[in-house]
Amino acid sequence: MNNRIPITVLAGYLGSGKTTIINDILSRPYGARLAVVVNDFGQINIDAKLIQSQGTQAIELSNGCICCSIGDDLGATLDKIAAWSQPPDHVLLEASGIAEPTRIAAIAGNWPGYQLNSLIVAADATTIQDRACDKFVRTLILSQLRSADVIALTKTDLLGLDEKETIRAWLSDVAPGIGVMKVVRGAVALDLMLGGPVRSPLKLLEKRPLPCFASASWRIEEPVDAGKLRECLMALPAEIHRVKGVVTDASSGTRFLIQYAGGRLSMVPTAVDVLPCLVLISVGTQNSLDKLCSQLKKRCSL
Amino acid sequence: MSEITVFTARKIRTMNTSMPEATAVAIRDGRIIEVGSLETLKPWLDAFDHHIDTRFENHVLLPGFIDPHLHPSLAAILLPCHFITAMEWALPDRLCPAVTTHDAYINRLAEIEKGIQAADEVLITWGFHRIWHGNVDRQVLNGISQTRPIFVWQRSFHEIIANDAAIDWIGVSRDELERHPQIDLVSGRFFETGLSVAMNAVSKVVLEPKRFAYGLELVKRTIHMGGHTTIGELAYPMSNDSTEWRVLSDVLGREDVPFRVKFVPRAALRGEQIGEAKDNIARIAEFEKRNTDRLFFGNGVKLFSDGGFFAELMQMAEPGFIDGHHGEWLTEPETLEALCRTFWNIGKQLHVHCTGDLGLELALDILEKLQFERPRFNHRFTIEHFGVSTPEQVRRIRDLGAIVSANVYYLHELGEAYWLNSIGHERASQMARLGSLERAGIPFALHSDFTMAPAMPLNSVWVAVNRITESGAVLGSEERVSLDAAMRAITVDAAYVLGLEDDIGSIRAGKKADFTVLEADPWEVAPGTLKDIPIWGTVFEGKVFPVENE
Repeated sequence: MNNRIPITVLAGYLGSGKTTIINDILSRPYGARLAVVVNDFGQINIDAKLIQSQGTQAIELSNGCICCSIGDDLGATLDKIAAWSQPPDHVLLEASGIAEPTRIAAIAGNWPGYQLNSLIVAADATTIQDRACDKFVRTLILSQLRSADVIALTKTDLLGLDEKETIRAWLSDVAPGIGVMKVVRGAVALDLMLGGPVRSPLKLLEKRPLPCFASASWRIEEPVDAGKLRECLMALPAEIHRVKGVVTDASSGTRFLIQYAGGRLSMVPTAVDVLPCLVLISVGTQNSLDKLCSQLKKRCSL
Repeated sequence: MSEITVFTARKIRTMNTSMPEATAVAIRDGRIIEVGSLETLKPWLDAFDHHIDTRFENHVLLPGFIDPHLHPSLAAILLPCHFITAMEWALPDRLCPAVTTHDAYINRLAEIEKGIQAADEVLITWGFHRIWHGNVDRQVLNGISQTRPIFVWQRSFHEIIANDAAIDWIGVSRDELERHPQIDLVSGRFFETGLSVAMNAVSKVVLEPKRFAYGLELVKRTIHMGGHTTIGELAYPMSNDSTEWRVLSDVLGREDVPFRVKFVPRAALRGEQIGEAKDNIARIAEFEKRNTDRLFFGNGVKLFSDGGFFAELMQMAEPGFIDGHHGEWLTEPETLEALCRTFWNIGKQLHVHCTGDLGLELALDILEKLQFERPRFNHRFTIEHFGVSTPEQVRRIRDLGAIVSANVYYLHELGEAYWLNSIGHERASQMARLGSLERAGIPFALHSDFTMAPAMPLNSVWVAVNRITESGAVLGSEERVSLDAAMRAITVDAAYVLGLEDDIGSIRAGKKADFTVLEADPWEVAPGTLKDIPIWGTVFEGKVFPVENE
């Protein structure tokens, strides 16, 4: 054991969904102190009301020379974070879209006081195959995918069943042996991203089998019966780790922010303006989770 | 109105093709009244009080040299370092002779160490290259000093070697350094990603405000020594606008500075982030409020395509690099396109950093789209650096109305190294394809991107005209340019690249009275000696500034 701060690198090309993932992470409780380092606050919801979890902080990297390391402040930022009076339990670092992820992971994961947790590469399911044929970025895109511990495949909800199969097959062809998690609207399995190391920090190429997680989301077009939903959630089987989302109660019109973790449920009124949606994360197979999700829908809809 | 001053000279090379040679130039209030001979100037001289200054009677006058692309802030970081280099570097405060063997390197480093008074001063030396200087490692450096931190910064900036005192000075436990796969404490080497750890510590020294201001003072003298009267800072700011501007305007804005600086701001503050178009436009518009005669922003913006040429990170089209590594993008192609569109559509001049042929291809693809969407004439879309290209791309540059600002020194220092170790003979010998540009009638400038090349325009001219490499061989003789084209590239065509051609770049009535005073005429010396022509000094807006020999 050592007391190095675990650091997770979130990489992926422009438009791959990194920002959405980060916004999602910032908006829900993590249960430990998390520092999120981003390239630009531009699209990040640093709005206090959205940073739900106590102890989470977002830090922006400032400008450095673009073609050499002078004035590049990634290292300086990591030093500053490590020197906080209460250092975070985990750091999430957003790599830029053009970064070679292994390079960023090597810098961050070997930085004094840090240890690489995992390297997640986001990929937009609707565009990744086209990008991988583009004359300018194909090399970069393939190299990003191949360097991942886990590929976070985003926007799969926009694909038909056949297309989902095609992209899965394509990924296992171009990036064999690398785990893929489906991510809808940025909702990733936090345990998978920030849980425990999925690789040993020094051996960038060594892969370990992943813990098996599944996530499912329920986009809620209609208002639901909040009372029924509460009953259903309290009766969820133990393999469900987390549930998170926003629903509108049919009778009162109130919006509730729903957080469920480790058997505890919180349902509080919220002003957060997002499309109603519930995300479930479970240990187990995707099939059983999807089945559970559809049961939930049936019972809570009016 | 002030009195007219007339400078006579052995010869004046006006760089105005309508009247290329003259022997006298009349100036008033910093501008040229007329150039010709004492005889042709007579109507002016009869009409106004004047005096004739004959001090350049044995010299040759040219328009003040222009380097349209360098980075004073980066140079200010490097110049206070101790140079020990395989090639001679003439700096304003010292001449650094070529050091080409291991023993000579160690002797020179030991000599520098002994010369430092302050016991706690960190010694940073730049220029180390294994090909010449052999194995310099922690043990060797410990032999020079057990107590003073010594950092050896490699020529291409991609490796640092440290002695034990320096490793301790970094302030990180040895265990933490040891586990890093790209830090080797036995040899004291910090390389690739491990370099960041050393740089993070070294930055505290090189960015210290006093040292930085002193570095900028050296930059000022370096630029004067090269014979420049105008430079372009081609990516402002390097890091932090407020502190950087304070120091730059303090050091370079003074009356005793014999050159002006045109600042070309970055289109977006971070290469990979696009930001809101309106924010970027507003940020850049705001800069112009700072304009003075000497330091000013204009219509240009800077954008980046592919990676650094010295770092071998240019994007190469097939067949790529011999060792199979890949270049990198400095901006996502889509982001670059969006940024270009934003500024193209408000009539800006786009300067795009392109080093490899695939990087250039991206810039040309974008320009072609923009021309289709919203055609512009006289837009001066500028390809900056122009490392590797194809003949077909040269035609496209012409067809799309683009122009080029080239670092031809790549060919001299890297031509052979890239031939043998990087991209092979065919493409390496054709880097900086300037002969093709000249044949196609595409205007081009030469720049140093200092410290990527020495800030000596005549040195760039010498490379462009001869294509002589490090070993002395000629590489890519078909791509040599005429002396006329090369001289235009540091004067009138460089002014064109910066959009300042109405004011500077040639010697004609109405332009600024900027001259570079040479001891010999470039058209009369052997082409192989162009770089050796001594520079007497400059005239900046009518004021005489000799180069002090120290």
